[in-house]
Formats: sequence, structure tokens, C-alpha cells
Amino acid sequence: MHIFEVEGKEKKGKDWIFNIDILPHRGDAASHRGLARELAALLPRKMTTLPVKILKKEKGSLAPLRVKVQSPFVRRYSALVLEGIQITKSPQWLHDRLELLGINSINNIVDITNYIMIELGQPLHAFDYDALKNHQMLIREAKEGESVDTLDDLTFKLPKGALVIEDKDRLIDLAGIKGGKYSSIQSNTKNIILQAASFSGKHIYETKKQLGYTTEAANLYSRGLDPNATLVALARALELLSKQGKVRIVQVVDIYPKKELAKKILFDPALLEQYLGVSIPKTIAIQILKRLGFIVKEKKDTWEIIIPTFRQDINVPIDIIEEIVRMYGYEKINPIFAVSSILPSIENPIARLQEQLQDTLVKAGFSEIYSYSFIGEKDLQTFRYTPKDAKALVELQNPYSEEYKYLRANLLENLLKVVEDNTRRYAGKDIYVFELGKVFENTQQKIAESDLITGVINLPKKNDQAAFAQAKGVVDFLLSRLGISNSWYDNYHQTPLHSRTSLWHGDKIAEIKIGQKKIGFLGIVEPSITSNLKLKGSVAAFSLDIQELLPLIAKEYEYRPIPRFPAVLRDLAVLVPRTTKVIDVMNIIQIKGAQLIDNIDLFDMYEGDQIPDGKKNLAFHIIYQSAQRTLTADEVDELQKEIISTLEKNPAWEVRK
Amino acid sequence: MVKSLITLENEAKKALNGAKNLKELDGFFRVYLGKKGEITLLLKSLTKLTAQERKKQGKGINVLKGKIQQLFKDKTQELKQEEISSNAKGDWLDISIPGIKIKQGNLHPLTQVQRRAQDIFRSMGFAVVKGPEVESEWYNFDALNMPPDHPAREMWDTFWLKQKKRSINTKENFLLRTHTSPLQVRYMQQHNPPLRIIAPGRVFRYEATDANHQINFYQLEGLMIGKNVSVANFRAMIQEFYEKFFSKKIAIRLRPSYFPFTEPSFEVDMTCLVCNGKKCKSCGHSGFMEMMGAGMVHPNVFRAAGYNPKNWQGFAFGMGIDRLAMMKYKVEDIRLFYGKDMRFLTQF
Repeated sequence: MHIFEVEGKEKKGKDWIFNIDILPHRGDAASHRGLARELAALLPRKMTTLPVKILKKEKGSLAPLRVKVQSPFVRRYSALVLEGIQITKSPQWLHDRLELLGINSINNIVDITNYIMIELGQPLHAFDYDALKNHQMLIREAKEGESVDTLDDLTFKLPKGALVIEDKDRLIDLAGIKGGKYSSIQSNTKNIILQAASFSGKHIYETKKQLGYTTEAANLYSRGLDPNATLVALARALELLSKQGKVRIVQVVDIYPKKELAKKILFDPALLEQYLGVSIPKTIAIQILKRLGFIVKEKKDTWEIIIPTFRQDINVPIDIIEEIVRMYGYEKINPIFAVSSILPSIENPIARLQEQLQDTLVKAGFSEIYSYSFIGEKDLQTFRYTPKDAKALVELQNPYSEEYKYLRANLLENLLKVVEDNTRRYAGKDIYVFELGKVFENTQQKIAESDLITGVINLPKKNDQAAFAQAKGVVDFLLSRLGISNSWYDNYHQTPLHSRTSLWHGDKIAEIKIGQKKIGFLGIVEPSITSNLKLKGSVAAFSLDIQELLPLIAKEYEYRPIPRFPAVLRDLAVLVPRTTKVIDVMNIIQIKGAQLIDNIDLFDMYEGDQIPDGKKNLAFHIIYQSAQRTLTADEVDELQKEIISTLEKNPAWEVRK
Repeated sequence: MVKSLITLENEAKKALNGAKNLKELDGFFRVYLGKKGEITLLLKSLTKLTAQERKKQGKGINVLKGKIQQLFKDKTQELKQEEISSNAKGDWLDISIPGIKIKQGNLHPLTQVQRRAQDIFRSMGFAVVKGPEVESEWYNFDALNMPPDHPAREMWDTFWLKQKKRSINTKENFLLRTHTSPLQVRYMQQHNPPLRIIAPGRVFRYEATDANHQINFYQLEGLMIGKNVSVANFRAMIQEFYEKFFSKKIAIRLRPSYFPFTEPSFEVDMTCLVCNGKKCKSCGHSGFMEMMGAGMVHPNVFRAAGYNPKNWQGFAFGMGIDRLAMMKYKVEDIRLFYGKDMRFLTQF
């Protein structure tokens, strides 16, 4: 409740293993001692002191190691040269502890470096002194095209700037990440260089990201470590080593160009209540800070707080607030409703339009689908992408898999896959599905993102005209619910809006327009695509661009008065060539009937039995209605006759009587 | 002298009450009110009288006629209805017949949950904000206090868009937003405080999919900025939200956490819905369930948005809509939401 979460605990022999999730900014706590320090502050208890050996140089026979640092990303480079080492197995306790923590025991030297890293959070590395050519080390940034062989038998092509260590003529270490192959500890190693360095966390982070490779040491460095901790780690290593036998330090290297000093933060204690909404007694707040190792000097209105260098994460006053509140306890903050005045929340017009569209389609019997925002390589074949079409797709740098390689450029394809998946389950039934979402496209200047709503109707029996008419009815319904009266359907021209020509049946597609503005599409899906998906019957679809639609919707929705005078109904059937458009017949009826026709309703369109070849029969209900008076039957019959004779002026049309 | 009018009236009433069906009623009509009916004949007989007598007796007969006619009408209506009811008696229907299924559409469960959440926040004065799913590196990371070398970027596994070359200018590099938090900055750049917004939307993570993880899912970002907006205000607001959303009393718990764009940062836990805090398997015997991350907006985020952090403060939070839906509908696998099976989707 105060800092980290125990993800799990498990008993292994006499020991308990705790799996603790250390927050990413707390590099100082990512070790046994670091965690103990945190616990000591919390409980509070006193920390035990750690037995260490004093780093005292003795006379030896080795030529001095020459170390040179050539990068500002090396904050400190500390190392010991140890003479007369014997590589053996580790003592049992060390072996057991490492194995419990899931680390393979290797030998006494490597094991100690691993153990110190877990105990203190400071990565150590041991080099074989005699493997270095000309006993020299240059720590520098890699040049373009260099590569290094690491001790796990990998070869890395290095990004420019990666920190490396070079001896006279080879790269012997990928600094801060992994030891090099040529300088690793062997069973016959006699003399070693024990390194405890401090590298810039951000720099190591960048390198490991570029390499796509990481290690425990690299992760620790990335969190940001205290450069003042290197010598303690070496002293502790020496303590453990000396228990195994005599060790001689013949050289102590410590390059520390800019000593890390404790930060000072001026803190206004009034911020505590201001930020948290709870009043924490001053004495308690100061006590908490002191337990965490901070030094607090009370000034007139502010506190001067000195931050220990191991807390690299504390930089600004609000960091201090967090330290105090987490130790004090979030549970002591009582809920208080904000007293600031509430302005009425602003309505988001796009969100509102989206809701209207969704609701209307649900009323019309559609089920809403959420599909993935991606399509895959295989979809390009299924949906007949031309190379040019594919070029317009937005591609991912690092796709999750081939199946999710591109961003979807329309909603239709994934909806068709939904229909495909459900055909067998809903055999013989209509399927109505829709999706509302974003689609993406590469345009010349940028990546275009659009909000679409797309619906698909699948009728189990093949009847494209019927499927089309249903889809059109849905679009009419959608638009009329939005109070749009000037929408119409235009013959499709080759300038698709968020679509590809190859998705649609070339002769069965219309553009949806409001005034002169294109807002979407309506049509029958290209038969070879429905065949690829093994869809049965007829598949019609429509798609509207929500952003285009938004400025065109009516703000007000006015009712139409109910007619005061009775309507008169007459039916009319016309036999016309198959390719005659219904709208042409309807227009003639409407123009002739003018003000006296309230509505023309096509109730049947039929070709086949009893209809001559190449012809179709259109049957209409015509509703005659006047706003001024009651129409007489004679008057209506007269008008109907005039309409019929006008229709029959076209020699190919025959009104059936 | 013929019968007195009183006798006639009593006889007629008796006969009328005795009529059992419409046919008998016809008979009654003939006897009393028909062309040769008693009352009709009585009226006709008046012609033989003097004008004075006619007037005297006529009034009484006409009153009687009116009365009987009314009673006859009432009785006719009564018998007609009886006859309709009794004719229908043998007629029955099978009430065990299955109801005919209504053709109906469905809003996706995530839409429904998102709307419910929006409604609750709107009632608390929050405005709904939307933004792009393809986002620049700058908005997704830099502006949220995560410059390119910030190790915390690793907390968000990111899908990058294929580009010829990554630019040094992070405003020119594009990715799929890993959270809805970029909208904090986008909105603050365009609007002056104080403000309360929520930003629901689709986000993307490059991670292995399983019952709890998806490469795309939904988040709802919240942001409230003012002069004194505090952690205590956050607690009150979020508790109110969860109580309304789940329609029950719950408790909220905050735990320390880390996000680069908030400080202090915390995880928000809520009373376990399965055991009501009594500790069970679902909540790992803690009595609480992890709900979301939140915190007080970091000064560097205010700076990126062009606000002066000295003048403004507030909280931000980001909750998973899918998780809310899973809890609300007891759905155990997030993948069902993005699946194609309509047997799942048509249940909502």
C-alpha cells in the first residue's frame, strides 16, 4: 500500500521467495538492500551495516592497467585489478542463493558479480586481465558499422554511439549490457579486472532498444543508478572474495569526472494540502522524509530538502509530495467533492451524430460489430487489391503478425468476413451487420483518418435488386432521421470516397449525395469477392462518411401537418424494358400529377413468367391528395388517364389496364 | 274497456325480461311494438276519440311507448353481446405456442458500456472529447513527459507506422496511440482551464493476445483541471462513478504507482464485486480489484500544453472500457468483443 506490490510468494525449502514488482523509476530499490532500505523507512527499523573490505592497494607483479574514458555517458568508471585469483566452484551458500533466484551458478567470480548485482543493485563485471591486449582499455562510443562479439556467443552490429570497451585492437565489451567474448573469465584465469561502472541510464536504454537485446544489468542501468555506489559494491565483492582465500588488489581505478552531489529542493509545505486535499501534520511529514534518508531544514515558509544521491527519481517539489503521501497513506485522504462551479458540459457534435447513426441502424435491425483495425496480407488477395490499391494502405513498421499488417482502409472488408463467419450459423436467414469506426489511407501529404459507418445486408436468396433496394431503404431511413431531405443517388463515377473500385460490382453501385456533396456509397459487392468468401445469395452494402455528413444534418426536425382532406388511392402497372430506370417512370408520374400526388410507392417489380422477355412489370400505388379540398373520384380518374397517356407516349412502355 | 296502461306496462316488462334470445325478442317486438302490436294498436284506436279525449289518453300511451322502446333497445344490446360471447366459447388458442421472434438489432456491448460511462461523467459536468488513433510520437510520448530516451516508454508496447525514415522531430513520426492520454494535451492546447473532459476511444498495444489482452481495445481518459483540484476530489468523483456504474456501494483504494505524466501516481482499486470485499479467489484474496491508473497531472504535461503549472493543477485517469464490460456482463474473454460470432454479439 505504500510502495511496491508483491506479485507472488512461494516457499522453497526453508526460504520464501517474494516476487515484487519494483516500479520503473525506483532503480534504487531494485535490489535486496534497496528494498530493505525502503522497508526500514516504512516500518520504521534500523538498517544493519553491510560487512565490506577496505580497498587497499598492495604491491603486485602485473603491468598497470591503462584506462581511458572517451564518452560523457560514462558517469564513473571504477575497477579493481586483482592478482592471483583461482577459479573454483562457488561456496554452497552462494550457489544455493543464486539457484533459488533462478540464476545458474557458474564459478566463484561470475557468481559474486551476479550476487552483488542482486544484493546492491550495482552491476559488476569481471574481465580476464591477461586476455586484454597491451593491458589497455578505451571506453568510447561505437562508430558506424562496428560490431562486437559477446560472451553468450552472439555478434551485435552496433548502432552508432553504443558504449564499448576496446583493448589495443579489439572490442572486448558491450559496456553496461553484456561482457565481451575475448575478455571473459575462463577456468584458467589468474588475474581479473573487477568493474563497477556507472553509465547514463538513458544512453544504455537507447542502445538496448536499438539492439533489441537486453540483460539484467542493462535494465538496472536504464532505471538510473547512483554513481556514488560503485566503490561500495567493489568493497563488498572483495569481502565475499576474501572469504574464499587471499586476494590481492594491485590497482584501484576510479575515473569520476563530475561527482554527483546531493540535490537540494525548496519545498512549500502548503502544497501538501493544496494537492492532496488533506492536512498532514508538519511533524509527521518531516519525520517521513527523514526516515527516507532526506535531510530537511525548515526555513520561514519553505523547507530545504537534501536528497540522497541514490534517489535519482526525486527532482521536483511534487516528487516530495508523492514521497510523503505514499508513506502517510492514501487511505487517509477522504473523498471530497470538488467545489468549483460546474459549467454545463459541451456537447460533442460528432459523438452525438455517431450515437444517432448507431441507434437508427439498430432500429432497422442491424447488429453492431467491432472488428480489428487491421487487415492482413491474405486479405489483399481475397478482396482483390491491385498493386496501386495496396500502395494506399498504411503499413505497420512492426506488425503483430501477417494477419494484422496494414491499417484497414474501409470497414466493408472486415464486415464481409463477419458475414462469412456467420453464414453457416444463420443459413437461410438475412444478416444485417454494421460497424462504426476509423479507417486509414496514405494520401500524398499525410495519413488520412476518417470516421465511417458501414452496413452490410446479406439475403440468402440471390436477388441483387431486392438487396440493393433494402440497403437503399436503410440509407433513406438514416438520412431522413437526420432531417436530411435533399439526398439523392448518383450513377457512380470513378472517384471513390474511402473505397476501391474493385470492391464493388461495377454496374450495381450508386453514390450517395446530399446536394452536390458526396457522402458515401451504396451497392452490390463485387461477385468474385463474395465468391472468394463463399457468401450465398446477394450482398449489398452502404457506407457513409460521418465527417462529411456532420455539417449537412438538419439542426431542427419539423413535423409535417396531417392532411385535412381524404386521400384517394389508385394503382398503376407499367410494362417497360428491363433496363428502364424506375425513377424515370416515377418522375413522369410525379410531374404530371404535380401538387395532387402525395406519394408514389413501387410495390412490385417483376420479370419472368407471363412477362415478355426483356421486359419488367412495375406496379405502383399512387396516393392522390390535395391540401385544399376533397378530391372527387372523377377528378382523380381524369388525372390518372392523363398520366397513363403521357407514359404511353414512350412506345416501349405499356400501361396494363 | 281494454287493459289499463299499468297492466300493459307490467306485462310488457315481464315479457321483455323473459326473452332469452334475439328471436324471442323479435316476438316481443311483434306483440307490443310491431305494426299490429298492442301499443301500436292502442295508439291507432285514439283516432276514434274526440280531440279532448285523444289528448288526455295519448300522452300516457306515448310515455309508455317511449319507456318500452328504450327497455327493448337495452335488452337487444344485452342479448347481442351475450350471443357474441357464447358463440366464441368453443373457440380456443394454444397459449403454449412460442412467441414469434422480433427482428431486432443490437448495440455492441462496448458501445453500451461506453455510453453508460459517458452518461455518468456527463452528469458530473464532463464533456466528451475525441481524437485521432494514428498519433504522432510527440503527443503519445514527449508531451506526456516521456522524451525519446525515457525508459518508461517501455511500459507501452507500441505499433509504429512504416516510414521511410524516422525523423528527429518526434512530431513527424507516427504510431498507433497506446493510450488516450494524448488527448489531455491536445485538448488543453485548444481550451482554457478550468475544465473537465473524458476521452473514450480505441487504443493499440503490441502485446500477445489472450483472454485479457488485445492488440486493440478501448480506454476512457479523464481530466479535471482547476485551481484546487485535489486527490481528495478524485477519490470522491471516481467512487461516485463506480457506484453509479455498478449500482452498488463500493469502496475505493489508492496504491502508489508510477506514470511519467502524473505525480503522485496511483493505481485505483475497487471493492471486489464477486465477494463484496470479503476476499475470494477472483480478487486474489485481497477483497479489491484493480481498476485503473490515475494521478495528479505532471507539471511537464502542463508545460507541453502551454499552461503555467504554477497556476493550475488537477487529476487525470485512464480506465479500460473492455474491462468494465467484462465485469458488467461477466465475460471472461476479451477476444469475444472483437470476434465475429453473432451468437455472442446479439445477446446484448
